[in-house]
Amino acid sequence: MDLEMNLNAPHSMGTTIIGVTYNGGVVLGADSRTSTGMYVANRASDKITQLTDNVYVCRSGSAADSQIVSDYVRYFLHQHTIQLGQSATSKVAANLIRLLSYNNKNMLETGLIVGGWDKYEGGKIYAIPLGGTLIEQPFAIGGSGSSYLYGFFDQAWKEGMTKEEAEVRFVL
Amino acid sequence: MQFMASKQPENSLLGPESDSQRTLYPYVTGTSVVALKYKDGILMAADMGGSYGSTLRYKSVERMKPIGKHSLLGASGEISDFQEILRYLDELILYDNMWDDGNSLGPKEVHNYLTRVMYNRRNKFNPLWNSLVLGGVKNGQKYLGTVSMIGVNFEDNHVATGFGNHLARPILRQEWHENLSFEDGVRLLEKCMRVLLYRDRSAVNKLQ
Repeated sequence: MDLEMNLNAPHSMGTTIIGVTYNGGVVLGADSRTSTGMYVANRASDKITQLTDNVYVCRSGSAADSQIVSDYVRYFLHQHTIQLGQSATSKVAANLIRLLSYNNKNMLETGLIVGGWDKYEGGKIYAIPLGGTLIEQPFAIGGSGSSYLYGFFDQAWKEGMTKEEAEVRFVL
Repeated sequence: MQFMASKQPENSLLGPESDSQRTLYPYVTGTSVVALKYKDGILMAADMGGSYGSTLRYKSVERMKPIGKHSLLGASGEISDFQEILRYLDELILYDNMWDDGNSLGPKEVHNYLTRVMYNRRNKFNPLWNSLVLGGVKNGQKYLGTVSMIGVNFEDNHVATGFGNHLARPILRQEWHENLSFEDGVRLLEKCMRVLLYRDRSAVNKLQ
């Protein structure tokens, strides 16, 4: 009886997603569990989605919402790349996500972290929580599991880490 | 997922109205902004915190931005709506510059524009969830005004939003006078921001 009710609940991800800049770019990390209520619908989901060659996004919140937003943005970025004649910057990707998130804020339920590298600004992390605010940060955490990490990051984060440090300490 | 409690999915079952945005709930919010007129112009202060419900999630949010050549805009409330307002103003200033007529939009004009925008949104039941403070100097004339989420606007010698209204304005009423020097003005603002840090749960100790 319990199981039935829960399977009708919307697929949402009980997620932890992290994006961290280091002195050569960005490192993104995410867990792989998608839950529908109490049941784990997918234990091998890929929450880091590619938008372009150099920009990726970590998805949290409703699985459907975050997937459709990334799909739209990938489509727009593809056209943008063709028009521009060079790869899109992570700022453009983040702003496109922001536009979709903000203009549909009543219907969407997804928090995203955009991370990418471009030749103008290097590695950048942008957090786009519910509501469509765009915040550029040296590191970002999101998802329901991120609450446990605020303290750790506040204490242990420092600028200018190497890739190994960033990966080992924070993401892994 | 604990933040989902504030969202009401029933809204989407309202039929054709579900396409247009209705009353929104603020997600990431900024707290008070305090501003005052001094001898040579305007002084404004805001902290750099962005709260996500009751947790202080972001600690480097810029809630004050210069507008055109003459004005400064500070906002409390939903940060994404503030970012949207900045885009509207960017467009406004751009068109103004394109006239290339030697005139530029002063604080009074920008304040009026913002009042119209906020009031119209409120009439459509789709408010921009912000309280704005607009200050500036043009041709030696100082101007300081405020617009709330529902379109209430007025100008005064000192204004504040949110908690600042209750905590900072009494201090300003007592101690403000015409021809404050820059140092005195800064000291007065610091006093207000300190009180806000003590008593406002969503204040952080990093100021702009």
